[in-house]
Amino acid sequence: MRESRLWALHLIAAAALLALGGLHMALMHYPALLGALGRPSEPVLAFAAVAARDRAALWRGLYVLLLGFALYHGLYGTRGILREVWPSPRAARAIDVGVVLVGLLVFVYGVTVIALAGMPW
Amino acid sequence: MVTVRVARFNPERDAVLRRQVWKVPLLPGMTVLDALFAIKEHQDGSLAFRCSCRMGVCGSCGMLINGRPRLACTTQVAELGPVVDLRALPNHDVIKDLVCDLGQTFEKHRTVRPYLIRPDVDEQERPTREYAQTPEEMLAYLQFSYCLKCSLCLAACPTEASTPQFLGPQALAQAYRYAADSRDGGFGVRADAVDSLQGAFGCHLAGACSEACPKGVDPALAIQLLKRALVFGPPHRAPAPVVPAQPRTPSAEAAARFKVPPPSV
Repeated sequence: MRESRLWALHLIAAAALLALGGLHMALMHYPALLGALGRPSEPVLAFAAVAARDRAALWRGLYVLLLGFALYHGLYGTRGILREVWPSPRAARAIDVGVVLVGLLVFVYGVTVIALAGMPW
Repeated sequence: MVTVRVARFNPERDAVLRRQVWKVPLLPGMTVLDALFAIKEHQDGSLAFRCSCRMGVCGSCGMLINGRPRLACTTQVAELGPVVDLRALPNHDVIKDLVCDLGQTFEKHRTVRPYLIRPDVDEQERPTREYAQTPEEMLAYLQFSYCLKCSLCLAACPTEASTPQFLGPQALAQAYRYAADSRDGGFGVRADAVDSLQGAFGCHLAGACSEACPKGVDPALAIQLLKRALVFGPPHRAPAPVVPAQPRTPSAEAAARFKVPPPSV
């Protein structure tokens, strides 16, 4: 794939992280903000609330998106740094393959955790 | 008097750079190049430096002057203080003293095919008509066409320092200069060379190249525009077509004055 497409996706991931990270911060850490916006404050960190979110398809979808975008954004940046430190073509190939493998591994693990968390006890 | 310190290197004798100091009488309007000529003519004929036009046009006399890449011919000694510290451009191999090897710069420049690429090769080789271009279309690339190939931008670039394979600001700016030219149709071919981490996407936008450029080319801007073109497509979709040349019919007054025969139909 051309570098321009990877780079564009890197920027899209950054924008998505801002939106998803902002949503996370608003819901988890700034309930007062939501209260000010008209949404009554709820005990979001209570076990029942966490378990309810884990079972909701919308929340699980958002978790997967957040995981995917964060992984892509972080690993693309890491790849850029590593490729600059070891610029030889052979090292570049090894770094590209390594970054993709690490990304896939962590993504599959993360999705498995999200799926299992939503299972009934 | 001004003190001129030069980091010297003779490949036949030296393993590392050695510093040599001379005192030069400061004259009004004296440039660093003038000071180097004064040393070479009156104190040390073995000092090596490169120059040609002496007026900031050829880009031959680029060197590191008091820590900044600059052209020796356009840098006034009086602006630099009592000590002038000189060395060859960083990120380049040193041939001798202040003369660096620009071969890699020219090689990278060639990589981006710095010329008009068009489908009508015959017309290009044996032109019969004009490629029309409006002033606005010319302004899209004019700033970037002032490049001297002096290599000061490569000497200033931090990415070039860490990654020698990086094409560098000079070549990338020239890739955009031709991509933005309405007469060019070779964006796809040129994209093969620049759409990579060693190309436009290796640039971290430090902006040191634009600061160093003696002609105001602003390579950092060109690289950002090149990135945009690579993601969203070139500034123009198709090269400008050839058009018939403007008919050159002299006015009646001019025809009478210079006895120009009427145009044959």
